[in-house]
Amino acid sequence: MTAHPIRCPRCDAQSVADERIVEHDCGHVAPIDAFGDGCEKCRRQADSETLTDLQTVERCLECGHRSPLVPEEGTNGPLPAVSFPTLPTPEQNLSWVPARFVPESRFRRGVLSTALVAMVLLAGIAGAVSVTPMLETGPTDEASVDTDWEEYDSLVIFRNDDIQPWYNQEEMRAVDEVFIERDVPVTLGIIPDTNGSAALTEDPEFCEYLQSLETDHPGQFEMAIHGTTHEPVTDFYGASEFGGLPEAEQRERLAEGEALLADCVASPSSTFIPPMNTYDTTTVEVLAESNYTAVSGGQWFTDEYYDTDNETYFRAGGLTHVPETQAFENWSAYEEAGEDDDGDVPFHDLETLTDSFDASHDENGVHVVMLHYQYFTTDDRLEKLESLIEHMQSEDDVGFLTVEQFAEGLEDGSVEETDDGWRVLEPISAVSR
Amino acid sequence: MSVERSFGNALRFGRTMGRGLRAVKWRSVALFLSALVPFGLLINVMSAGTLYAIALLGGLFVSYLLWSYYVVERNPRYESLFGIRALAVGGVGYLATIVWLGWLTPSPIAIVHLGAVVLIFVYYWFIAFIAFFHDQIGRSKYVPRPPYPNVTVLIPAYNEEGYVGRTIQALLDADYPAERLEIVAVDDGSTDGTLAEASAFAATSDRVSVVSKANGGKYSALNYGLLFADGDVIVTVDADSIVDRDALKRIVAPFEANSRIGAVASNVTIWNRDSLITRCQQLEYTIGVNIYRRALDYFGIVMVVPGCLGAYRREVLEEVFAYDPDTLTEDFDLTMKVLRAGHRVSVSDARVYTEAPATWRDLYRQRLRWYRGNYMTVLKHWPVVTDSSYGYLSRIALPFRLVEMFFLPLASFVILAYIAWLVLTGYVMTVLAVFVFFTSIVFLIAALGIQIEGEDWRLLVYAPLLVVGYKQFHDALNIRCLLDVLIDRDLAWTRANRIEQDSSEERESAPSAD
Repeated sequence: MTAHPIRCPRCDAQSVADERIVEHDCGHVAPIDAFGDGCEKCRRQADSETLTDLQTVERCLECGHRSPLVPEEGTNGPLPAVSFPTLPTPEQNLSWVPARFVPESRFRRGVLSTALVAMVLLAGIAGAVSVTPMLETGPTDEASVDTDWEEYDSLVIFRNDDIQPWYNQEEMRAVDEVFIERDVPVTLGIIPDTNGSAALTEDPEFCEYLQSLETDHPGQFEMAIHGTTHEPVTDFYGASEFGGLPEAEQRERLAEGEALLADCVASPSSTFIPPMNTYDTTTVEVLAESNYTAVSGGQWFTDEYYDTDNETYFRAGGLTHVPETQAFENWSAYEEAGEDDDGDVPFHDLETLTDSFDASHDENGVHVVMLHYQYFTTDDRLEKLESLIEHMQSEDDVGFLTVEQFAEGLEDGSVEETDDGWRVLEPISAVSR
Repeated sequence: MSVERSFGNALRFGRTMGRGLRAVKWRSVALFLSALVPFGLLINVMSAGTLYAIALLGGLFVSYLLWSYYVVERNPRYESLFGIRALAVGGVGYLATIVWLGWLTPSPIAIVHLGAVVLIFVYYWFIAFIAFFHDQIGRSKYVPRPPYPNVTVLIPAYNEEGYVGRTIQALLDADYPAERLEIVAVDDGSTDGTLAEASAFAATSDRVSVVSKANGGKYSALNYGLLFADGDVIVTVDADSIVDRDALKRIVAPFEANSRIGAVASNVTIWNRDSLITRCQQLEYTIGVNIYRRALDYFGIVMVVPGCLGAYRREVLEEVFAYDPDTLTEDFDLTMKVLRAGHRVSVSDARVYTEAPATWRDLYRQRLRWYRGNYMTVLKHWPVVTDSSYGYLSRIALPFRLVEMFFLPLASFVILAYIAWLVLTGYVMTVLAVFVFFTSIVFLIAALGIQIEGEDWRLLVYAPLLVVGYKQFHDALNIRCLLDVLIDRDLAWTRANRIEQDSSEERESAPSAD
């Protein structure tokens, strides 16, 4: 340490000396004297290899004040002109609003700010609310399920028609229970306003029941619209609610039914089941406009109207047509002899039903069974349904789907016809809606 | 008489209530509570299993927080129990449980999806709530009052010509007793006119002194400058920053209020908001940095005292031997050292204005240094993660930081891949719906941040970019930096160009002191 004749700028003592400042490898910066016993920070040794000279400064031995060495000539120039940029301040929050719109009084400015906050708040909430229905039908949860391709020899679709409030509710629940117990999916054909006098929404208990099916058995019960009033409005192919009506009237009828169904169930499907199994090309146009993907009438009708030959499914007018191929009820017998001994529409015998399925199975076909819940009034009748399902399930490699799962699956590739049957991306309920 | 007394009491009570209600910041309350709507909707569309899984994790998380509070504040004897390691084990057990119960189908997407939803809940209802609460009741707890301590402001400067003078002038203009303020500019071997510019101020003001040394990096400049500091409180200011007029008074106030506080952070504000990229950064600062910092302040564990304006008790700096050379983010590293030494680190309302990178390239260079430095610092202080004796630091601050640094960037790309798959398989509308939904939540969080920070409402326009675009840029950079640090690539200082300075290869290649 070299003593200087100058005085300390702080205490005026004439005991200023040079001091060598060094930096150790560990980053510790101190006078060289402080490293006499090694580095106090890292406890490692300090020598010429680990120490780097930083600067030599002047230090007052009396008060300890350090001063840098006098800067070299030329470093003390004139004070530079300093300009500051425009800095944002909280008080300038409304500076971007044109001046003529900013009130002068503080209170009114506060009101304006509050109005802006309210707008932001409403915009945020409106954004979230507006897209929530789309999230509900989104694949976010379902897509997280592991899926796998399953090979089937044939496919079976059950279609339970005429679902309506008040009427034979016990029978309706009993039939649903059969499908639940057997874990078989089913398309429910729901009449939104039977005969124009039994709107779904007037029976909240009924709607709650349907919603409970959707919630408790996701993907198992398809909520399809079955006309609007189910009345035979025209004599199109014998009788029809839609076929033969002008386009505008069909559109209006459909919209009425859709509104009622949407208020009753959580997820109305994209399948249309025409009452009396009949519809025309206008019906299909109206349905395609309304984003339906499938229409399920009767095969006897589609063979004639679309000139097909026992086709179990086909594309026409932008929709997939999946007609019923086997009725549970024996309508021919009913037309000839009327009701059976129990006073109900007669059913086919079990053998007829199983033979029909077996034929479809052998041909790797799609077997669409139509039934009407209201006729399942006795245990024997329910057992017949159970027996049929049992028979189907006893065969290996039979896939069960709803109409919508089948139609949408064909569209999005999760259902494919193969050389020897079908392959389905299972669980299909997780893949489709 | 008693009727009159009762009436008087009722009147006083009414007045007190009236004052209380007037003190409530109702706009913040409205914005905070408005998020109930999207969260309610989110809960509504969730499957029962997901909801139970979130509730169970929420229970685990709340139990952990309550236990942490108990052992840190009341009974340190049990501090080794149910710490971060036990929480990690609990997390694995939790995953096994929800898979076993059928609430979660085990797949990377499902786990990331659940993690993302949980983080949104936690971020909003824990971080944002504490920040909101802090704003409602806590801001006035550090009111600047005389006597003010002796302060030394250190300004490390490397090639800051055109900037350092402005920084010094702003400090000289600051509202702080002149006899208690000392400004030390440390020239770190600049090759431009930085030394001359700073020396000109030293020649005209006895409050300013300039010291110079060979170029060695910011840590070295600060350690060197510290030898010339006489103040009881050491304030560090970057040579390109502009302190607000009352910033010095505000940043020293917490030291007077609480002797356990060892360091104080500031509120960083970007002044060059003339481009999309700088506005995005301001929004990021508002909701990602300042809100987060405010929440951690509640526990005294603010994790970064920013280099552009921060304050330390002198004895605390000396106790931890100031700055180390072994990370690229010396401010984060020093704050960790202060916290590890058992001191509280708090945040103040001292505002500092800084210039943000104005191009993607410059932002990339700046964040390359920050993120590499963050990973280096976390790895350097890794023992804290598993040592429960560090209280809230190891129990709350670091776990959040680890999730933010290690899980979120990776999760972000898993989700992005999932979204791409959804788009390719035809779920475009669903993807749009998810985007709008999460943007609305970010929008409300941003609005709350803007309201609390008194920021510019126009920044809300950029909220969607914090969901898609800007966010993925940072996530990708984080992953790159993590890999860089793990494979120990040569990690040199990278420095963004300034809009008011010309770039030079020489400047970029030397270790910087800003």
